[in-house]
Amino acid sequence: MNSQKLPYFLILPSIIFLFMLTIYPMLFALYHSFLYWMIGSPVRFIGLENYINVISSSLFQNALIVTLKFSGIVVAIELFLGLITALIIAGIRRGQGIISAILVMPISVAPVVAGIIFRNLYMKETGVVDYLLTVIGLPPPPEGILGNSNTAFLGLIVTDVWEWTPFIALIILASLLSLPSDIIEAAKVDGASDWQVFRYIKLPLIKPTIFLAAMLRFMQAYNTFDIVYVETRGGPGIATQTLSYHLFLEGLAYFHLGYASALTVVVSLIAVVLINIYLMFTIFKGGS
Amino acid sequence: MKWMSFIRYLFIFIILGLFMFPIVWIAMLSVKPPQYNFTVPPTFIFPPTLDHYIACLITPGYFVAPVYNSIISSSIATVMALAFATPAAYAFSRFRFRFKNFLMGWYLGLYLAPPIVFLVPLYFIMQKLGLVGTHAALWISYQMFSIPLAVWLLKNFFDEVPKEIEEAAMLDGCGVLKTMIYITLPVGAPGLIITALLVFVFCWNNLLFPMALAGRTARTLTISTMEQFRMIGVTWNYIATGSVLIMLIPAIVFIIFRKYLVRGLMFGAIR
Amino acid sequence: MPARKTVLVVAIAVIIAVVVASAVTYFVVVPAVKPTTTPAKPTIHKGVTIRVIGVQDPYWFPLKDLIPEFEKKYGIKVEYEGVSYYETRLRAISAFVAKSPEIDVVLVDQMWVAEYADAGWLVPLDDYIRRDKDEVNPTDFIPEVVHALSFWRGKIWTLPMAAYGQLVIYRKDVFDKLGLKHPPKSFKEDYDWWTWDKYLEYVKTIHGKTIDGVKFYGTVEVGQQPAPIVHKWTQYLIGMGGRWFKSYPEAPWNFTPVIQEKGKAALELFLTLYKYSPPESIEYFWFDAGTRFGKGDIGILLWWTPYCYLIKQPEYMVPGKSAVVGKYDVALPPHPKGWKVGDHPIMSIGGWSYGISAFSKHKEEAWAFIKWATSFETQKKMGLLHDRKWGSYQFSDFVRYSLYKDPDLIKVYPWLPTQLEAWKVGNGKVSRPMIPIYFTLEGILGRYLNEAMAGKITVDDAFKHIVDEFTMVLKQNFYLPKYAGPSFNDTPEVVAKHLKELASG
Repeated sequence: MNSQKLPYFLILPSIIFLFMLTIYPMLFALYHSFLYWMIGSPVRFIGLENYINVISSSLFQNALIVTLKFSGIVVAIELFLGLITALIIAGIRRGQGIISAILVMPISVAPVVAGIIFRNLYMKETGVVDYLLTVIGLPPPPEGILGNSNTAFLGLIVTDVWEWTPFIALIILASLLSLPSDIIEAAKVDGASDWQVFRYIKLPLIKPTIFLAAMLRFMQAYNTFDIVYVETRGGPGIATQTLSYHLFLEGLAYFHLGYASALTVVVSLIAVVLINIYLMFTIFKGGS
Repeated sequence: MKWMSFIRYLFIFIILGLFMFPIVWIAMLSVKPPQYNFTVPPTFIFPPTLDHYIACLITPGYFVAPVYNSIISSSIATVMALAFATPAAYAFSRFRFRFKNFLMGWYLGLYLAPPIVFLVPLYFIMQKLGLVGTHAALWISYQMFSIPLAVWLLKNFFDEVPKEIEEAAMLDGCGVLKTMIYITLPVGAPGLIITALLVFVFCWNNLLFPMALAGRTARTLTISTMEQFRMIGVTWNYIATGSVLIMLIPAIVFIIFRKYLVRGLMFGAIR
Repeated sequence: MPARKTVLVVAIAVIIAVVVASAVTYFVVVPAVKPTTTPAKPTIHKGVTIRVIGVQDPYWFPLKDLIPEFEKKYGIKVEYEGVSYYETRLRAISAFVAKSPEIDVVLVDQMWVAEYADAGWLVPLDDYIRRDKDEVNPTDFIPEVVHALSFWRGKIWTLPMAAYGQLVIYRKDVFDKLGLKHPPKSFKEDYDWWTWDKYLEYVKTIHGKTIDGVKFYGTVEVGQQPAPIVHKWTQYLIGMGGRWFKSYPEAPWNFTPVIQEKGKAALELFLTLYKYSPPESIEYFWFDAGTRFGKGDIGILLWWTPYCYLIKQPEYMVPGKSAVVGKYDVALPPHPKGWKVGDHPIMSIGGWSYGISAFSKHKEEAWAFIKWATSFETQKKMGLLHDRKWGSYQFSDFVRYSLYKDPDLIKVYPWLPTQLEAWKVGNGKVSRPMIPIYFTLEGILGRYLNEAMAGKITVDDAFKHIVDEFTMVLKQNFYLPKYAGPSFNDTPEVVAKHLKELASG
């Protein structure tokens, strides 16, 4: 066997399988995006009209804003809290093993389950979070936490932050613990304070890791579906309707299949752009 | 500086408490007698009962078939993913070739892509093929993220298998394939196991694919837990039971293998 | 960079893939199904299994208890499923699109009949009814009900299973304590005074009062979108004389939206009533309103007729006694000032009917099931199941005249005479048009009604959006500027004639 071609042969089975699994649906979507296809109506060709409808649709614009807002906010919060947590844990001598074992648990929880738990905690009057807020003098709105657009959005953010902050924290922690100790020792010997050590030595060294973790989380948050489906169903109204959820509704609930196909293409293109940005910083910049 | 240490431990204690609380709460809900479900203030102390687990797993056994479906579809998906991914990961690890970066990027992109994007067309295609409601629909569609995940994880593990062993074997006359099967794999076996477990967990936790493709006959534990949110009312105790059952395997896997988790899920971008 | 030749090869491969994909997927697109021919002599095959999909609305539970009787009588096995409102639609449609025989009998909500019928997914039932007219007894069906639930383009596509009107349920003890005159139960009584202004006045009077230690809300609304809020609000729309389109269902059809004309007033009323309603009702589903009334702090509820009996239970389909058992009564809906019986309709009609899937492999067996489920004997048994000591099932959503006149049933459900009279002034197609694109329009309507309820947009803005988006959807589907299909004069009178014609064979 030609050893030049060998790697390709090794990769071929997985590529073919994935190709069929993904390219065919994409072509299906592309083809139908140019059609007017709604259950109960005759199918006909309408060119780019679906795309125009998608871009100009207030539902799509809302979903895009909701998704980007959500992703941006959760990543920012998770970075902040994760960094603080990692720093504090890194500074203690004993118990890191048990602590990281406990921290891992929220990450292992399926997003569905996270949504279920928080939906229960947010229930009006009987939910733990609702009750606590009332008791400390910050009463939730009368429609309930998930019944008010602003608090529902916040509620989802809290759910995501709960689930993924440990992920960021553990990554940063691992990164901190793998820093070369000689430089740090040398700096300390030279009289640098802990804060200076952090700001001028540790931080720059872990910045790349933080950055990559942030981008990865942003991509994942962009795809958020499970917790929306469980906790708010995109509501109240459309206040928490993410792009994934909007696409799900249009395609599998309302059966606006022409529109949903065009929406699929648009959502994919945006995702491709985001992924490529991420890739540029990882693979193509010499990550591995 | 003793009080600094004390403050640190206090902070950690609070943080861990906050992260653990929701999990503990739902576990409590799964053994709570129903009359304590909706009390104001919420009840933390109550006589526990196993009734809900009995109802869900034994009689009438609402979750028995879903657990079975989850296990089967996730297991088959894992085996398939590893079968496809092992040679590919080996190639990425050991060879340099054109398009290598492009292909690795493509795999990663698939993993990061919004799954819903494939789901709508995939649903209609599977309907046409008559696969909706079968386990096959599930473990086929799971490959979409399983293979890329497995490829990346295995590649990292293979990277750590020392090249010298392989070179020694090849000097002795083994071909590349033979080397891979008889030398690299046994040494990298722990990595294979960890990858398999992680892939299994991701399949196990999945909601979206079964929701669209599993119909009634192949519905997984995640789906049937969600089904408890019914028009008639919400049977929170059973939901809690389902949630705990869903959480068990992933929690155990993640706790034991947490070291590899961090590296693996960052896709080798850090050491 | 890859060689030019490689790029060329890849490009050709992609083009070929697109062409192949297009050719293959062309056959996935749904062509119309040839209509089935007149049924031959009935042969029921024993041992066959039929699958029935429905919603767990109140009818579902007592019917489930009676299924063993059906199975024994015909030797047919029934897989009887109950799923959520949206899943009923999703399961049916995905089976239809795939032309799969996995569903035999499908439950259809009133507004979906046209969509399913036009797509060729249902078997038209006229020939079956004519053939079995003695068993089916077509003129026993209430024409307004058949008109709303089963009739489209001159044919009957389903048999009505459970019919819902909208009546006023009120706390008679609270009314007595506050000296309020009880609303009329019959048009033969003094009905003129029971106007919308009076209704609102009563709601305001009750709101905020503490009676027997309970602080009262005037009424309870329903705000969940898309469907529940539209079902509630369209009662106000039709109750004030409103309609969706310029001319529908009377021929010739003109789909210019006029929903805003009376719609704005209806929405203002709705928003005002929401002020006297528990604030969390903005998220309420259908049964949440009933459950809330059952808790005992609501004065008046105008809602679907199943709630006349559902409120006796503490929760939806849970046995037990609620706080309002024996304390409430049922009356006719209010009317706009100056209206007389015979003017426009003022009550929304909804409900469920059973249809046979065009792709079913067991159509005769499915027809046997539908006949049985909608028969006088079965439905009377369903209504009287409330005596069972372990299950407080109740069912009074009758579709046949004979059931309304049955003394045993009237004893258990004293509001039956009121419900019977109300059909005369109801029209399901005016309040929620049975057109194939109804579901899309409902989504638009539900969204803006909910936003107005949440105070996010004004009434005028809401209707500006509604009319704009309605117009866009109607244009895209060739309903505007001029309806491209044939109009059909679709009124209860036409249905009554049709039923007579079927009965005479």
